[in-house]
This record gives sequence, C-alpha cells and structure tokens, in this order.
Amino acid sequence: MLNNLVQIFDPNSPLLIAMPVVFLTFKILFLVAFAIYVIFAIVMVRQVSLMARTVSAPLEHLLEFATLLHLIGAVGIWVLALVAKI
Amino acid sequence: MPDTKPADTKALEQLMEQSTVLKDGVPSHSALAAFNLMPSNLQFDVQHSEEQILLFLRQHFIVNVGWIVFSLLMLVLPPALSLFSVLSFLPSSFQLVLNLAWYLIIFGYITERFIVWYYSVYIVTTERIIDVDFYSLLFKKVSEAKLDRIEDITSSSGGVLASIFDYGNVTIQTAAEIPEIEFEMVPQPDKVSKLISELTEQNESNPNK
Repeated sequence: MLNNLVQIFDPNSPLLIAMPVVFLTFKILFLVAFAIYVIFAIVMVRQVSLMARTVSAPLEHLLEFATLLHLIGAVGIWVLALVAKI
Repeated sequence: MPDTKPADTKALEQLMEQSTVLKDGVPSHSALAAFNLMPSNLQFDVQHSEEQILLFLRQHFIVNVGWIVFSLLMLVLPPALSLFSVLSFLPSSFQLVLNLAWYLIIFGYITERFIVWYYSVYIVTTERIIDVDFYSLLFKKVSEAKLDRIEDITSSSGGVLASIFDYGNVTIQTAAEIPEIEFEMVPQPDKVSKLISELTEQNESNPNK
C-alpha cells in the first residue's frame, strides 16, 4: 500500500497527480482537522478551570498553565500550517 | 482553665480518638498522593464551613501506567522507526508542521489523561462521602451520600497487580437517592472501608452531631 502511495507521487509514474493539487488538498484537510483540535484545546482549558472550581488541589495552577500552553501551541501550529508554503 | 476550642475541632479530636484509622494514620500533604489522610491543602466547592476532609482518595497511581507507556512509545517510536519519512513527499515546511502537531497531540493526550486522573476523586468528610468522576473532559458525575444514609460497605480486591500494590474497590450501599457509590481502584481499600464503617457507627451512636 505504501508503495502504491509512493508511486502516485513519483514524478515518472503514470498515476501522477499534479503535486500542487495534492498538497493543497492535504493542507486544507489538515487545517480543517486541526481546527477541530483547537476547539478541543479550548474545551480543555475551560474544563480544567471548572474542575479546579469543583476540587481545589495543589497542582491546579500548573494544570491550567499546561492546558493554556497546549491551546497556544494548537493555535500556533494551525497558523503555521496556514502560512506554510506548499 | 475553660476549653476554648471550637466545637468542630473538639468533634474532630473526638473522632480521631475513636477511629483507629485516623489515630494510626499520618496526615498527607503530597500533591500527587492517591491516599490522603486528613489533608490540609485540599478543598471542594460544596464543602460546608464546619465540614472537614478526613480522607481524600484518587485511583491508585498504577492505573496510569498504561497510558504513560503508550505515550512514551508514541514519543519515541515514530522517529526511531523513521515513520516520519513517509511524509517526505511534502515540502519541508509542512513536514515540520506535521511533526510539531504530532508532539502537541501527544502532549494534549498526556495532559488530558493526567487531568482526568487527578480530578476524579473520592472524598470522605465528617458529614458525608463524595464521589467525583470525570469520565473524560466532557463527562462528569458527582455523587454524594450523608454518613447516616450509608447501609453497607464492601471492599474488594483481585488480581496480581491489585495484590502487589494494595488497591481495590470499595462499594458503599446507601439509602440515599443514589443507591450505590463505588470508590474504584483506590489504595488500601480495607482501611477506607474501615474508616467509613467507623464513621457510620459513630454517627449512629451520636446522631445529633
């Protein structure tokens, strides 16, 4: 299966698909999927603050920071993917 | 000299004298401990002003080993097996984005699993027992029962790991709206059930408390 995939992208293959089209499709799919992941990251930040309100425990600030860092990372990667040259 | 201690402190001292678990136990202050006896650094939102936490439990840390090993494999295996080379047909800038996304998703997975473990707690207080279950980040269930509504307590433990690390389930039958509360995979289940049993007995002998 991997060989077939490689064959599609081989410039000498008869199955060759125009690379810009493949890349653009790949990029759009990635952006859509990762946008969903960014929503998950937002939910995570919100939920942790709700959990911290339910049970006040020593690591709550560290966990809130971790989820915020995760959200910033997710947004950053989405932006990077958007501006990445194909 | 008159005794100037507040009533709740006196009640707690009396409780500690009568309970063998509390008397022999050492108060815990560890942030990651799964078995916290009389913790001073933990609180919950519906805690009454005179209510004191006697026992604060999480699932035994051993339950985390599966996802920790899985996460480590996911961190190490793709570069070790050169799985990222499958993406070599993509421009290098996009390969970088995908690599970063991979590690971020693993970081998110680790954080999510840890948070669910950390905030899924079982609390025994001077007034009631509380079970806070986070099944995932999106699903939460909080059950509680007053000590005077507790009818039966069963502790069970089975399997090699449970025997080695001394963890198991404590099932509490109640006469409350929620008929059963289960403390799952908690450390020292015998001690937990003994403490709840002692509290229930004390509550029965002193119902006006």
